[in-house]
Order: sequence, then structure tokens, then C-alpha cells
Amino acid sequence: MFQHDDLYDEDELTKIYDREIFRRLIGYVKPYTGRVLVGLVLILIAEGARNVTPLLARYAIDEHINSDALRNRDFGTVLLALRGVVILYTALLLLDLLASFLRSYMMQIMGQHIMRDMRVQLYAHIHKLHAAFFDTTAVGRLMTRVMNDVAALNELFASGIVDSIGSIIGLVTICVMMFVVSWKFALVTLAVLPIIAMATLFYQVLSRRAYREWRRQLSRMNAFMNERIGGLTTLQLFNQEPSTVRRFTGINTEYLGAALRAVLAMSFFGPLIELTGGLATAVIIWYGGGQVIQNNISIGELFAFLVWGQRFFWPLRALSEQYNTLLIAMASSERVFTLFDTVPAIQEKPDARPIAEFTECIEFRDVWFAYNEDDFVIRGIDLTIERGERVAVVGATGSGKTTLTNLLCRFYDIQKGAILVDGVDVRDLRMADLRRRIAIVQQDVFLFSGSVANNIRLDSPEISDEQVAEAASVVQADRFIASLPGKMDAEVKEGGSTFSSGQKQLIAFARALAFDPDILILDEATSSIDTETEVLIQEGLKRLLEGRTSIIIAHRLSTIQDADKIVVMHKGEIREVGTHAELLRERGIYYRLYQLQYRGQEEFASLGSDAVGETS
Amino acid sequence: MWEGPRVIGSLRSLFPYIKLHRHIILGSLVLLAVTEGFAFYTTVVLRNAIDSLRPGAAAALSVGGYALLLFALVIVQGGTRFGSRYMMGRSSRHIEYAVRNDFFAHVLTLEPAYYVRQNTGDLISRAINDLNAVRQMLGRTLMFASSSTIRVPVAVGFLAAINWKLMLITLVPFVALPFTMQRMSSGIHSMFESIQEQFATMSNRVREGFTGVRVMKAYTREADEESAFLAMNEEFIDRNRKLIRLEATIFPVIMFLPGVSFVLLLWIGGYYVASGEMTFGQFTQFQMVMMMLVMPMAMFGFMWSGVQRGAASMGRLNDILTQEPEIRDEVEVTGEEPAIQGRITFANLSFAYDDGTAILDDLTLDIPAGATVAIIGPTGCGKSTLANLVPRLYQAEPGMVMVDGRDVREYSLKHLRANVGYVQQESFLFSDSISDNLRFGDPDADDHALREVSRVAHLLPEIEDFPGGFSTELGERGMMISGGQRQRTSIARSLLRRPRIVIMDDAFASVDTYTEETILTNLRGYLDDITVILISHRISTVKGADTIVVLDDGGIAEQGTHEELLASGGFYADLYEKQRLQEELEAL
Ligand SMILES: Nc1ncnc2c1ncn2[C@@H]1O[C@H](COP(=O)(O)OP(=O)(O)OP(=O)(O)O)[C@@H](O)[C@H]1O
Ligand SMILES: Nc1ncnc2c1ncn2[C@@H]1O[C@H](COP(=O)(O)OP(=O)(O)OP(=O)(O)O)[C@@H](O)[C@H]1O
Ligand SMILES: [Mg+2]
Ligand SMILES: [Mg+2]
Repeated sequence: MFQHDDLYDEDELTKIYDREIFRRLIGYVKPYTGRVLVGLVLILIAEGARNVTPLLARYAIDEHINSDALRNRDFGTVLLALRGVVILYTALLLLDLLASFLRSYMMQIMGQHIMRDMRVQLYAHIHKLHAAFFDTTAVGRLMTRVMNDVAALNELFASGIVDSIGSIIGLVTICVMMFVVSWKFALVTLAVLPIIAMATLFYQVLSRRAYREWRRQLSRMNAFMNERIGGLTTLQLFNQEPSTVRRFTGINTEYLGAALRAVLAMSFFGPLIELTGGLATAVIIWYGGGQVIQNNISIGELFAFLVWGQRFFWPLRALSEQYNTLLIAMASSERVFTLFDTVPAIQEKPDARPIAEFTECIEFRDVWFAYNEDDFVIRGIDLTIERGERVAVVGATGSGKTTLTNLLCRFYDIQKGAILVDGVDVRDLRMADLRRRIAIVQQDVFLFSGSVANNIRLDSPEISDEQVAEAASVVQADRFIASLPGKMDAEVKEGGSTFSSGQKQLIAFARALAFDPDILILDEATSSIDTETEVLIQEGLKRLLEGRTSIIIAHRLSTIQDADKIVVMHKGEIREVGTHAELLRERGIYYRLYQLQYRGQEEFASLGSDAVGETS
Repeated sequence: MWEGPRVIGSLRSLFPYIKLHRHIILGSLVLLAVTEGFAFYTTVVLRNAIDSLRPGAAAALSVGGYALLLFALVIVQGGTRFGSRYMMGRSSRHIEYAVRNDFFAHVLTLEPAYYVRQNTGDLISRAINDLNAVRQMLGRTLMFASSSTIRVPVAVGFLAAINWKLMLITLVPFVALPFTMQRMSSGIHSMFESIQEQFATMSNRVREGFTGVRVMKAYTREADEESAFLAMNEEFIDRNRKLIRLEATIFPVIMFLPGVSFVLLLWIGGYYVASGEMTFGQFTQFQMVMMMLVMPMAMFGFMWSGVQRGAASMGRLNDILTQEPEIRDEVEVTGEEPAIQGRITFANLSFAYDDGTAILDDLTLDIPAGATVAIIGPTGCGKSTLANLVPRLYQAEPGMVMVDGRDVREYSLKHLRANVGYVQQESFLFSDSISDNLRFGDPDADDHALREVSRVAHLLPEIEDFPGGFSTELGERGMMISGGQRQRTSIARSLLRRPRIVIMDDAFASVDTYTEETILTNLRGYLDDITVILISHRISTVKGADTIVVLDDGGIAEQGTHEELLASGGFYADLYEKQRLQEELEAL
């Protein structure tokens, strides 16, 4: 078996380089290149409009407000003189408003679309993964990836990418203007940039680990909650609420710790960037003030630089936030991509053979299989099942019956030997085709929330209402369904919690029939169903199984007595094969099982447990 | 739409948590105020610096001095701002932490009937996403709210001091700002609520899609599932669209209105400077102070939107938090509770689930302590329902279900459940090791006890066969062992607590007859005088019981020993015949 310290905990993330992550993230934007371009144009317009305004202000100040021409003139004259500037200024503001709105709207919608793309792809990808993957991966963890981790990327796409380009453009525009007006002055203002670079580097180191840890703990927490709420009744029956809360608090505390480290990093970074903004102002005053006194520059220019100084730090601050967004996104996307990179261990060959119908036989040829390494649970099985045969598989619990059916459906690949369907190795068949030929009532019944009808047809449009009803009536489910409010449309709650176990089994059974398979596998399909109903089902099935192949696993021998072939499994091997009568004559394992079930306890005692002990 | 009362109502439950962290929050706000103070003082210094540049101006400091002063101010501000943010961030995280702990603890107190109505994915989504939204609201809103309340009046004061007429004129657009914001953000509450709802619906879909992955695969439903999920995502986008439109408007407007103010400043202020009524330094300071107003004013609007989001989410949390558990301790337990002997009495028991259809109707049954009673009956007749009533997973009217002659409601849940070993029909195992699962009810049990119950449940040989032995991991829901192994693990787990009453609900459905017999024999040796209720469809399971009860149509159809029932020729005899008949037909 797998040795996992903690199923909720993460496996090591495969190390993906930052650049690689980034490249893949950008890949998701590709389908929306057009929009991004429009967004960029819009941001250019907005930034342009916004950054020209200080020039206007300088013009107004130097040419009018601070000029002798307007000194001590009356109100009207001054207003009239400034009229042009004012109109232009307002127009630019409006342009900015419009462009900003459009950009923001477009980009946010794009973000939503990208999230959708990613989510659906990821969801589909996970469904392609092999069954063994789900054995060792908590559902809650997968949920976190599909829902929360993808959501954490939203901001990056919705605003991060385009806005940071916008911010950079804004920065460059301002720089250019500063240099145009006075390159020396510009250089002085930009002197604070190295501080920012250092801060950023420091921040990256600090926050990256915190974010990673934070996402990891989130995933753990989700998985824990998912499982424990799922098993709540068990929890309550065992009075384990306090201990569960304690365990949860432990996870929550670790989550808090990681979050606090992120908070520390963030609280440090933001003010630092603002601080550098303030420093720039000080430098401007120190240098610019001197220049004004020496009459090298005008006071209007000083003012413009002060405004630019402030403005310069807007995009910078924005960039710092966007950088933060990127770091968060990296931490999440690392997890998402790791999952995307998990290759299904069971894959269809590119030249896989289609199969339209099952016509001949199923053959197990010296099949060896282990779930883990060489702990073989199926040991050299040879078995042929002809089309139309009813084959029963019996044996002690844990002897490998369910495993056998898992292998036939190719949920797991075998280590040695071959499983052939109509002479073709299942590994060479199209997986969907193979599985479509088979319908299986699994030992563990799972119902989806929705309606009864939907649980029978599983949303498949190919199955008509009549077929659904027919399937339900064969398994005798029609009686209780008829008593439900809404009948076939009656609501099924999560996990089918409003049905009795037997009823759930009946629905799952009906599902298998509705899919009209060539091969029907019943893995303890009637284990929780009363005998009377079971007998009725058997009668109904007889008709239905005509011409179909069925594999029936059962502990209650009454279910399988008239099978064409009974296979007795023991510890992964086939010990006996034959008809009921043959096997009874053989007086082997089957005979003893039979005795136990149909004779009284007295006989059980006299039989002695040694004789049967071998069967378990 | 004025959503104030609704918002406050939702947020009220947050107050006690805030109160718990009030010192740090207060500290953070004080630091914030200090930061603000410094920021204003900076504008004063800046004005003086610029005014000192005028030819012939009498300056208190040289340009270098001013620059140095500014520099010092900036550093101090950086420090206080950091402190303030960190403290606020910290306390909002701590609040989130506390709420989440309480939320989860509360979730665990709710009875199974509640979970019939409530989806797990939705609950988790509330605990994570909604709480996130609440925390964001807390941190940001509190921060912005206080910074705005400090900043706005001071800034307005400053502006008035410089030139009150100019202030009045330039502030017109500013005043419009919060109102515009408020107007625009109305309805965010319900929009956000519907978005969160859809998110939860999707979470739930994903949850079921993965939990039921084996069904999906077996029936090759993956492609259709993908398109169904896609449709849900489209719906999610649709629900987001309105909110996005709204929020996309907000920021540009925030930038626009103060822009207009600046135009006014340039225009009218220009006149004042030209006319000599204002120095240029004052003009500059005016502009800077005005800029300081942009964010806080806008924040009033933002905040409102944030508060509404937060409130919508808090409302969703409250939905759960205010849900009182219906099944809880009803008596004040003082001292030691009486040891449970194991007599179980159902007295005129009638029971219906939420939907109202009666499942059990006037059922009376007395099970003496130490007896073994078997219950048999058709699918869906109410066997599990009856069993659920003993450990109070569901509960009937008072006086209908008694243990040792006392209403089950008169015991504490803890005591009652500790004495009832209920092996449910569907075993739920946790993704821990086999030993953790066995120890589930008694974490302190020693290895010897573990081996002992494993032996009783006829599980020991198999565990010893596993390469990992007792530390074998079972996988989520125990999917890494066979169905029969799961069932036996669940039996062993219940026995470890040495309960006085054992209820086995179809607990042998997935094991072979030999194993079943062995367990039943072992059980008697392990726990001697306990009361046992066996629910089964198999004659072989029930035939040895002291009393066999045939349940049908909500009541007891037949009752007696195996022989009595066979003799009476009713349902049981018929059932027996059905199994006998087959045997005889096939017998050699
Ligand atoms: N939580 C619930 N809410 C509503 N109805 C329920 C709920 N649980 C069970 N029922 C209904 O109550 C009836 C009795 O269910 P119960 O599980 O007790 O049957 P059962 O006798 O144990 O059947 P089985 O042999 O299949 O286990 C069924 O018709 C079922 O649909
Ligand atoms: N997913 C898995 N990963 C690892 N081991 C597994 C897994 N599923 C089953 N096993 C192990 O393989 C063996 C065979 O299991 P299988 O489920 O095939 O038994 P079974 O014959 O169906 O038993 P039952 O009658 O109890 O259902 C068991 O020992 C079991 O513990
Ligand atoms: Mg099995
Ligand atoms: Mg039941």
C-alpha cells in the first residue's frame, strides 16, 4: 500500500521555473490577443491623456497664472485667458474616463473568460487521470485547484497583465516628459529607483515562500473540511467533534501562520514604495529648489516635476501591487500546472482500435496485477467468458473480485499477462468504446445530486424517458419511485441521503441497465436488497440478459446459483470454476460456502472452522 | 436601494470578534492617525519650501534644510504606515482565523438532517471564499474608513485655511464623489451574493464530479460532464458581468471628478494667484492637499462596495452560524451519568422525515438488556431509520425511544453515543491509516486492544498480510481496501469502544457467510452481556437471534424466534422458503 503521511498534504510540487510558469500563463491570454491589443491602445490613450495634463498645468502656470500679463487683472479676464486650457484639460479628463472604463470592463471580462477556459480544461484533465490517482488524492485538494487556485489567477488576467503594461507605458511616458523638460532634473528624480529595485528583490524572496505555504495550507484545509463534513455522522457517533475541531484548528493555525508571513511581506512592501515616492519629493525640492533660486528653471517646471514625482509613483505603486498579484498567481499556477502536468498513467494508444459491439469473448490470460509495486492481488488468472454467458464470481472478501472488474474496464493496467476483448488487448482498444460496452454496478453506490431520472441516465441525452422507466421497472425500483413526490423527477440530495441504502442500490442498478450494455457487471449489486425484491429482479433480468454477457459478484449464493459458470476466487487466484452442480460435487471451497449459507448454525459448528478457514 | 440595515444586520455577528482584537486594531488606527498627521505636515513643509524660493522671501530653513526635513518625515511615515498596516492585516487574519474555527466547530454540531439540505461543497465554499471576502472587507474597509475619517476633515480644514472660497468651489466635484459612488454601488450586495452562490454551486459540482469519478469513468460521462461544467462557468461569467460593469465605472469616475476639481483649481485658483491673493506655494499646497482627498473620498464609495460584499458573505456565513442544532444535549448533566445497561424500548414510536411521510407508525418494541434482536424487512421499510433513533442521529418525539427506561433525550449525547456502537449501513472511513481508523472512537487505545478488535472483526489476518500492516493507508473513504474490508474495519472501529449496545445495520452485506458467522461468534466472546441489534436481509444472519422482528409498512409485522416465525407461516416463513426453495431445487 501507499505510505502517505497525510493525504491532505501535498506531494512535492514538481519544480517549474518561474519563466516557464509565466510563459504558460501568457499562453492562456493568446486566444484573446485582439482584446489585449485593444486594451493596450485604450490604456495608451488613458495614460497619454493623464500625463499630458501636467504639461497643460505648467503652461497655464508659467504663461498665465505666474506671468506678469495677468498680474492683478480682473476675474473675468483671468478666466477668459485660461479658458482654452480648461476646455482642453476637461476634454482630456473625459477621454481618460472613457478609455479607462472600456479597458477595465474588457479586461475583467477577459479575465473571467480565461478563468473559465482554465477551469474547464483542468476539470476535464483531472477526469482523464487514472483511477489510481484518485485513490491517493483527496477530493478536497482537487477542488481547491479547480476552484480556488484558478480564482487566484483572476486578478492577474483581469487587470495584472494589461495594467502592468499600462503602468510601464505610464512610467516611460512620464520619464520621457521629465527628460524632455529637464534631463538633469529627471535623473535626480529617478535616483530613488535603485532603492525600489532592492526592495522588490527582498520582497520577492520573503513573499514567495509565504504565498506557496499559504496555498498549500489552503488546500489542506479544504481537503480536511471536505472529508470530515462528508463523514460527519460517523464523527458524531464517535463523539469526535472536539478532536476534529482540534485538528482543524491545527491546520487553520498553520494557514494563519503562512498568511501572516504574507501580510508581513505585504505591509512592508507597500509603505516602502510610498516612502521612495516621498523621498523623490524631497530630492526634487532639494535639487529643484536650488535650481529655481539660481533661476535655472522656472517655478512652473518645479511644480510640474512635483506633480510628475507624485504621478511617477502611481504607476510604480500600481506596478508593485501588480507584482504582488503576479507572485500570488505564480504560487497558485504552480499548483495548477503541476496538476496539468500529471499525465494519465492509463492512456489510449494513438492507433487504438474502435469496437462497435462485443461479439465473441473476454479472455483473461495469465493476468497479474498489483495496486502497489509487487504486492500482487491478482495472481495469474486465466479465464474465458463467452458472449452471452452468465458468470458468477464468488470468494472471500478481499480476494480480488472487484479488482478483476476494475481491470476489465481498464481502470488499472495489469503488470503481466493480457486481458482480451474479442481477441484484442484492452490496452489496444479505444477506452471510451470499451467502457461503453460495459455497464457496471459498483460495490460502492454513488448518486449525484439532481433527480432520480438524471441519476439513471446520467444526463445522457441518448437515453429516453421510456428507457429510464423500463430500467427502473426491471430492478423493481419503480415501486418506490412512484411513491416519491415528483416520481422520476424527485430530487436526489447530495449522496442520495434521503434514500435507503437498498433504494440507492436499485437506482444504480437501473442506471446500468439503462445504458443497454453488452457486458453487465454486477458487483454486489443486490447486497442490500431484500430477498423478495431480489427474486423479482432476477426474473426481470433473465429476459434482459438474453444475449448479453454478465459478470455477477455476490456473497449471497442464492443470487448466482443458476449462473453458467461460477468462478471461485481465493487470494487473487481462481481456485474453482464450474456450474453450481459441478462445484458442489467437487466439495471444495464453494461447497463449504454453500453449506454455511444454507444449513443451520449447528452444522456450521460441526463443520469446524478449520475446514472453511481456508476460504478467508 | 438603501441596503444599510441589511448590511449592519449581517455584520453584527462580527462585532464580538472585532472586540477581541480591539487593542491591536486601535493601535493600528492610532498609527494611521499619526501617519496622516505627518502627511499633512509634509504639505506644510512643502509649501514653506516652495515659498522660500521666491526672490527675497524670508525662509526659516535653507532649501537643503527643507529637503532634509521632508526626508525625515517620509522615513517616519514609512515606519508608522508599515506598523499600522501590519497590525491591521494581522488582526483581520486573526479574526478570519477565529471565525473559521468557530464556523467549523458549529458545522460539526449540526445534525444529519441538516446535511440533507446543505451541500458540502457549498459549506466549504462559505468557510473559505465567503470568509475571505469578509476578511478583505475588514482589513481594507476599517483601514480606509479610519484613514478617510481622519483625512477628510483635516484636509478640508487645511484647504479652508488656505483659501476658503477656493475650497468651496473646488470641492463641489469631490462632494459629488461619495454620492456617486454610493449610487453606483447599490445592488452590489445582491449581485455579489448571487456570484458567491454560483461559485458554491460550481464547487459542489466539482466535488461531486470528483467524488463520483469512478461512476463518471465507468459510464464515460466525462465529455458531457465537461459541457455541463462549462455551462455553469458561463453562468458564472454572466453573473459577474453586471458587477464588473459597475466596478469598471467606479475607478475612472474616481479619477475624473477630482480631475475636474483640479481644473477648477487651475482656473479659479489661477485667478487668486494672479491677483496676489494666494502665493504660489499655497497654490501648490492646495493641490497637494486636494490630491490627498482623492483616495479617501473615493474610498467612501469603494468602502461601501466592499462593505456590501463583505456583508453579503457574512450573511452567508450567518445562515449557517445561526442554525441551532436541533439535536443537542437537553439535560444539564451533573456528575456521573448512570451506566447504561442496554435495554432499548420503542414506545408507540412514530417517525417521519422532513418531507412528512410517516416511515414508522406506532411501533412498540422492548429489547431487554443483553438480548440479541434481529430486524428484517423489505428495502426502504425503515430499518435504518429505526436504528438512527437510538444514538439520536435523528430523533422522535419525547418518550418514544428509551434506553434503560429513560428517554434517550435525558442522556448527554456524549454518554449515549459512547455506549452505542452503531455500525452504519454505509461505512465511512477516513483517509488515515488503518490503525487511526480503528482508534477513531478511542485515540488512546493500545495496540493490544487494536489487535483484539481486529481479530473479532476477522480482519487481523488480512491486516497482517498488508505490507504496511496496521499503518496501511486507506485512502479517501477507505477506497484503497476492498468493500468487505471496509465494512469489517467499520465493525472493529465500533467495537473498540466496548459499547453496551451494538447495532449492526446490514453490516455483513459485503462479507461472505463464513466471515459473518465468525464475527458473530467472536462478538459474543468479546462483549458478553451487550444488547445487539442485527439488521439484515439474510436469514443466515438473523436466525440465531433471540427475537426476530419483521418490519413492514412502518410497523412490526411479525415477531418471534426463528422457529416461531417459521411455524406461523407469515412473511418470514415465506422469505425462508424463498431461500430454502432455491436450495432444494439445486440440491443434489
Ligand atoms: N433523510 C431522509 N429524508 C427523507 N426520507 C428518508 C431519509 N432517509 C430515509 N428516507 C426514506 O425513509 C424510508 C426508510 O428508509 P430506511 O433507510 O430506514 O430504510 P431501510 O429499511 O433501512 O432500507 P434498506 O433495506 O434499503 O437499508 C425510505 O423510503 C427512504 O426513502
Ligand atoms: N485502490 C486500491 N489500492 C490498493 N489496494 C487495493 C485497492 N483496492 C483494493 N485493494 C486491495 O486489493 C485486494 C483485493 O481487493 P478487492 O476489492 O478486489 O476485493 P474483493 O474481492 O472485491 O473483496 P470484497 O468482497 O470485500 O469486495 C484487497 O486486499 C484490497 O485491500
Ligand atoms: Mg469488492
Ligand atoms: Mg437501511
